[in-house]
Amino acid sequence: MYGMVMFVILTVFLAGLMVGRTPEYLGKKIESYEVKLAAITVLAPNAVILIFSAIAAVTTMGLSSLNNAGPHGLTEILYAFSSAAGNNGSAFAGLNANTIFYNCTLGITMLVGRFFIIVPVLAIAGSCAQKKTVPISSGTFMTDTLLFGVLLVGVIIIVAALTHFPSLALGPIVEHFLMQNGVAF
Amino acid sequence: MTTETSMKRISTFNNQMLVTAFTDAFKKLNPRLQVKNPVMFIVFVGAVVSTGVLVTEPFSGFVFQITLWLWFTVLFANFAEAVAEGRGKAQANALKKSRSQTTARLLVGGVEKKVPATELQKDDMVVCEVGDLIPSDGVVIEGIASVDESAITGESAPVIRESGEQRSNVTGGTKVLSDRIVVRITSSQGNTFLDKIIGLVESAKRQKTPNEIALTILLSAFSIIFLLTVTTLPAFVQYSEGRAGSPESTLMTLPVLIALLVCLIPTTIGGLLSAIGISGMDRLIRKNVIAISGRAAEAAGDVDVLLLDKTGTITLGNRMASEFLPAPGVSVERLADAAQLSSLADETPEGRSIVVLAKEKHNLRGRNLTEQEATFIPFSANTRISGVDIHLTHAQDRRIIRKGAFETIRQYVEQQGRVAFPQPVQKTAEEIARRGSTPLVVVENNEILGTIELKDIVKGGIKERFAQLRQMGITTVMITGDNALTAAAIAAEAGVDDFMAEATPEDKLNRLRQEQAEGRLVGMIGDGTNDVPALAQADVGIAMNTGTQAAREAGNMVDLDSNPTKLIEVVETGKKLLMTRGALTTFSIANDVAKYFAIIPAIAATLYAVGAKSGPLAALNIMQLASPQSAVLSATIFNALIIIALIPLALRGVEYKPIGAAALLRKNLLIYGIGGLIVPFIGIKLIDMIIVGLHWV
Repeated sequence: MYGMVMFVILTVFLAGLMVGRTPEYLGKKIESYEVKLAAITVLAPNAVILIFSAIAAVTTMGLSSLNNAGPHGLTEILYAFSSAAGNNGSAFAGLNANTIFYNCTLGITMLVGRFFIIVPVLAIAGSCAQKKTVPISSGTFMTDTLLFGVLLVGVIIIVAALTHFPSLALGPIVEHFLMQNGVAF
Repeated sequence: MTTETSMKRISTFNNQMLVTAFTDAFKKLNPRLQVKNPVMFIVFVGAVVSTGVLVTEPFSGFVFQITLWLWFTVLFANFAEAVAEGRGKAQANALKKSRSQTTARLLVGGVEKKVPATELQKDDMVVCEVGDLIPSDGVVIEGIASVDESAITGESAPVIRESGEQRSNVTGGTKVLSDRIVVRITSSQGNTFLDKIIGLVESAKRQKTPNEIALTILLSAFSIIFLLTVTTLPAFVQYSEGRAGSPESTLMTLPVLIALLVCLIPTTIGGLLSAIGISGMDRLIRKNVIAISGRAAEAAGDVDVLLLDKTGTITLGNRMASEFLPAPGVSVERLADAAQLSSLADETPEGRSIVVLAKEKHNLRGRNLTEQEATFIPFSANTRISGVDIHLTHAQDRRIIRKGAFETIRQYVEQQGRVAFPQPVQKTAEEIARRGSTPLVVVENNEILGTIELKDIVKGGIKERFAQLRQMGITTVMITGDNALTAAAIAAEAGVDDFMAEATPEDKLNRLRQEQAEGRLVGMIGDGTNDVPALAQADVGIAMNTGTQAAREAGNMVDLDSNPTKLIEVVETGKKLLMTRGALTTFSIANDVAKYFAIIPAIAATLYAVGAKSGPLAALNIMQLASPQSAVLSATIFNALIIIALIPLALRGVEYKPIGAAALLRKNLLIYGIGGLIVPFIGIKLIDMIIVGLHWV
């Protein structure tokens, strides 16, 4: 939910710019402070996922836990870190996560994935609470419409896709194509 | 060559401007300037690193081309900024030239002395005669003159400037066309209006606006994400290569990674961001509105409530006689005759309109009355009455005609001993007031003749303008000193949403504060000194150039044409500014999808290849680009060229139509979102075909 609100803020900001009005959400103006914090919440979890996955993919510490070959191994690593960042913490059975390396890195990922979202979200809440509520006018962009929903989903997909497309391409996507060709790992 | 024609000449692109912009683009390669724009700084650093690789390693035509296009990307962004600045600079130079060449005729103890205009001090007295340029800002303290203000307003019709309360402000750089005036200088050097304009058009003091800052943060965040994506990529590729047993990819080189990074970070909007901001200010200047800060220009797009002074803004300012309404038993001709006689010496527009109406409607010609025949009583603020005493040969035939507001005349006749005021006349006067007009009662020798209706003429087309503002989501509030009845009628005729009658300066300020306390952004248009507190308090204060010096100082925008309906364009410019940024950001991010589909298959195409030449990820090469090299290069070239292609859009701005936020968003999403997804697929494919055709790779 709070992660979603952050995407809503970014989407509102973009939509506001596109209709030529300083963006507002629920009557609160979205300004540089909110955008900065929302950007941190989107940035931080993705950063740890990418960095730790990259380390795991090239070091013996990371690779020794893998039981599966080829792209499936990379998929397992990516899944473990993404899941940890999303505060789920599960991993594929093919990955032995009970090693010092994975316990530490997944632990850190989980902390970042939790507190680098919670703290900025609370800060945004505090800043918005102090702001004056802007009354609705016909120039106000409504956020309870299908159009906004589509835009929101679009922003989430594009941000997520753009961040992870390269690593996913080398993991699950290539695995998918290989599976179609009858190659499994 | 006058400044006016020079302004017209530079308003369109010309070759010289483009050449200047071209050289400026190279001058802007200074790292200290580049670092101000985080996105473009990454490109700059990338280009430097890529050049390093090019010179230290054995020559590669492919690396050379990538490096070349990376530099082009930086230069194109600089070029966009330089073009945007170019117009302003040319205008500023023309203005500076006119100032430095002016000599002032300084009055020292009644003796004239010629000094350069740049040496004038505050409170100096200068003389200006026909053909002289007024050396600096000041107030006319003696004389009257017609002044050509086209240098600052672009308006070629001369204006009258005279000593007194109103119309006494003169601006440095304007030209005296007739007569002689003495001006007291009110601004110290470097602080004049002309200096401010020069500073603004040179954008020396241009600050980033709040939305621009927020957007820069967002763009930086995107850049960091992509920086991480690209820097972690080699690790994933290395893993995959190890697992697949494929040979090391020849494309996992530093220049290719830099090219990928540059393609992904939002360079399109990053490169055009400052050009958009500069051109926004420039658009205002070309509409003859000087924004004291970029913040004000942007805030104008956000205005929720607009407070407008009635007189001169909504109405023409002068009330015109529209009808004679005689009292019972009095002929309309007699009323018209008396009204005309009493107004013959009245030089106010109202007075003249009475004479004209009598002539047009009742064929009464203006007569000449000599001073022996008549004594004119001019209107004074004390008596609030005007008229004429006509001395005829017989003393008893004296005609004493007076006209004035209903209340004033009633008091006047009561003083003269007549108590009963005809009921129908009172009724007519009330009706006139209800229509939004002003009743003037005419009395001759203590006999009430009737009423003249003075109509407040609402400006043509203003109703449509307010309708447009309403569509934009802006509430208009008319402020007037009139009574509630008159105000309501005019408000209805003009189509404003709300009005404030019998408003004092404190009332204006209170209303403004109240609106702001409710969270609205308030715009205020005014010209008088009594508007100063409200202009200063308003989020967007637009002062009329004809207004007093204090009013011009208090506002954060000055309308040189003094045409308040132009506010719509000011609001539109503010909105365009935001929309152009939003649209290009969306476009820039949407472009990335296509670039991924070009570069990722190129880098990873041979991975996990089972016997065949290309691996499974070649399936992602949906554009069927010729080779991995051509794919990387095409994406980089597209990324650079799109900046150039979008410069006109950045300078012109995205079109704004008041069709409501949802419709506007749908339209812009369709054009810049979906368009941003599709265009690069086509563009990259085309470039790929061209460079393969040219055998570049």
